[in-house]
Amino acid sequence: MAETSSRLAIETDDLTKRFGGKTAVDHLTLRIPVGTTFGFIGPNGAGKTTTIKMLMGMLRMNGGQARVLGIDVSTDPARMKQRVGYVPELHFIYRWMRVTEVIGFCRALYDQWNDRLCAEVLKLFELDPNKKVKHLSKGMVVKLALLLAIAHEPEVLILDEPTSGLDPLIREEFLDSVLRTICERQRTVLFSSHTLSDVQRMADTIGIVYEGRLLAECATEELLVGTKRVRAVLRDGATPGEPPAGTIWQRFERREWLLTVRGFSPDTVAYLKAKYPVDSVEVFDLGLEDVFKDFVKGRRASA
Amino acid sequence: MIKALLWKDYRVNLWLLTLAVALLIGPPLCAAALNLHGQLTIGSAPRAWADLLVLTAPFSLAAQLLTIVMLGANAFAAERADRSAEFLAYLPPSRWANVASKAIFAIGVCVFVWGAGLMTIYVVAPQVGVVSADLVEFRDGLLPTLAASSVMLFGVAWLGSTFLSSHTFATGLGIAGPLALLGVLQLWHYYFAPSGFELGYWYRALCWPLGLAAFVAGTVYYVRRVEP
Amino acid sequence: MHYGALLRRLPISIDPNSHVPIYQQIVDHIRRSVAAGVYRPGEPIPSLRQLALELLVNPNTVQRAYEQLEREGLIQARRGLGMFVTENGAVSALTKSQAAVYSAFTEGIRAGKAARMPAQRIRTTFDRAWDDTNRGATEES
Repeated sequence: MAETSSRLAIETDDLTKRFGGKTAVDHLTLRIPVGTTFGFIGPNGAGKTTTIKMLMGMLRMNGGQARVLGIDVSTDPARMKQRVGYVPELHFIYRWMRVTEVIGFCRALYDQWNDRLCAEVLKLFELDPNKKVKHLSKGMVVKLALLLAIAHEPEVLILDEPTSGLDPLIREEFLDSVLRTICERQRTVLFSSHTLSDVQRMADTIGIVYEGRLLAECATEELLVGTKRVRAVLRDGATPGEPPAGTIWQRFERREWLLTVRGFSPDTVAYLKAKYPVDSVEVFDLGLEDVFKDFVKGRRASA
Repeated sequence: MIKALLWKDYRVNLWLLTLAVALLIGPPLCAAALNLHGQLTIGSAPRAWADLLVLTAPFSLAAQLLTIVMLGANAFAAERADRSAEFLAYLPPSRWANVASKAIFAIGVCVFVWGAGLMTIYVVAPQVGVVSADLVEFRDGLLPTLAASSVMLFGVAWLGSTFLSSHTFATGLGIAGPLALLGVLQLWHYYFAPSGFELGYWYRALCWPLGLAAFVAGTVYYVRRVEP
Repeated sequence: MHYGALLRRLPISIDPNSHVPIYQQIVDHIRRSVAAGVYRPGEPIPSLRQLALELLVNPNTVQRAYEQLEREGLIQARRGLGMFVTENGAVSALTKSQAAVYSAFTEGIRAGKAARMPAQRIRTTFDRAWDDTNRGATEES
């Protein structure tokens, strides 16, 4: 089903954005192959939304370039948008329009539109066609936005914190719909989210962003299986020094040296046992939330 | 695609279109009502209906200055104020398509309003035999000034609308345009060209190119801008 | 490990917050299901798309799980029909399940040693756990 094509759905090179003196996105380089799902995680203000807005041609870049489906977003955004479905974090669909009017409006703007799919999803989402957007609840607006994004059968779906503030039921409906579109065809999905469980479910590759920089970009399983927490209990008087290769975070307290090591292997334990007087070395698996937090904490500590 | 955009712009600016129509038919209706009242209560001779229609046209055109400046001001700023511009921004239409639709609608309404007014004064009036010194005075005097001012008001308000987020500010900017021009000309008159300087002539002569330049500048700025 | 839940067919659920990768959770669950006889040799397991939508996970993840199970010889693809449990699948599943139990025990023993428990204490702790589990199972059934 998912042949990793050599074609790239999304690529950025040294993408940079500055707001006044602050660098929101710092030479970000991304490569997202066609047919994969990329999860973009990072603390608030890390630059995820800024990056996505630049990809959608809604924010001027200060440096670097971005291409979606091979199309340069700064030179030919209109052509790119025909093939991309986007769901933003904040919605500003014309509040005076009724649901049918919004659908009719968007339908006229896209070259291709699947009426059958649109009708199906409209029914599935239980959206009242005659209701005005201003009378829709938040969850309904998000569902409408997703409907608009998938009805024109885009090759790329870009979702910016799509499920934030939604109740678990609507979140499940949303994920289900996104999954169905992934299953239909070779669709590429880029989504940023704070709900790490969603990212762990859906993403083939995860990118951890912090202060506009990519701290890590690798396959979800690799990140989870390869990143481990190591607990080394040192003998009295011993203090830690040079940590093993791949350490992204560490803390020493009362003889206990905790480390989070990326790319963990038996060599890591061997290194610790050889270099330091250890009483015991234990290895723990980590969930995505811990991995993410340790990456960020580690970067903060070294900054 | 343009049809959909035009429909959208029509709905967004519907209140302005309504205002334009109201200012078009309102004055004659009021005059007619007063006329009837005069007939019924004071017993004065009624004025011909044609007279009423034609003689309120100048007022209508003058009042439409308001509509015209707001049409320019509302073009982009309205969608920026409620942020629906950010929704439109991720949809396929190019900036050129957006501008074209807004320009067609706004200028269309202006042309409609002026067309109706000019038709009334130049075509209907002679046809129905309305002869009035006031009308002639208006035709030769105030009318060209109103036309020139309309162009300037629209152009500068349009320019303001392309970078402001409030159509009120854009309206203010639009109004400031002709006023600033008048001010500059007045200063010029006092300090550089004391005699033989026809303020009115120069005002009318400069409004047109400045108004058009502002319109073009605003259009180009919007097309090159990336942010919604 | 929730063996009690094994005896139910679908819906299975995965823990998206777990440190165990999702594909591994799927592999483990299907293996345990086969070992417990929920899916017998020759019977189909849910299709890729079906399971992906059921669990709300990326279909690539399910594919990876199925590929691993296929490599282990537990399941086999039948063209156009989906994935089926192989004849010796049950046996291999049982072996693997037993290996998983062995790992769980060694982990427990290591934890006990790290807590500086003497060997005898570790054994009595196992006996106590055995008794408690059996009592619990009796109450359930």
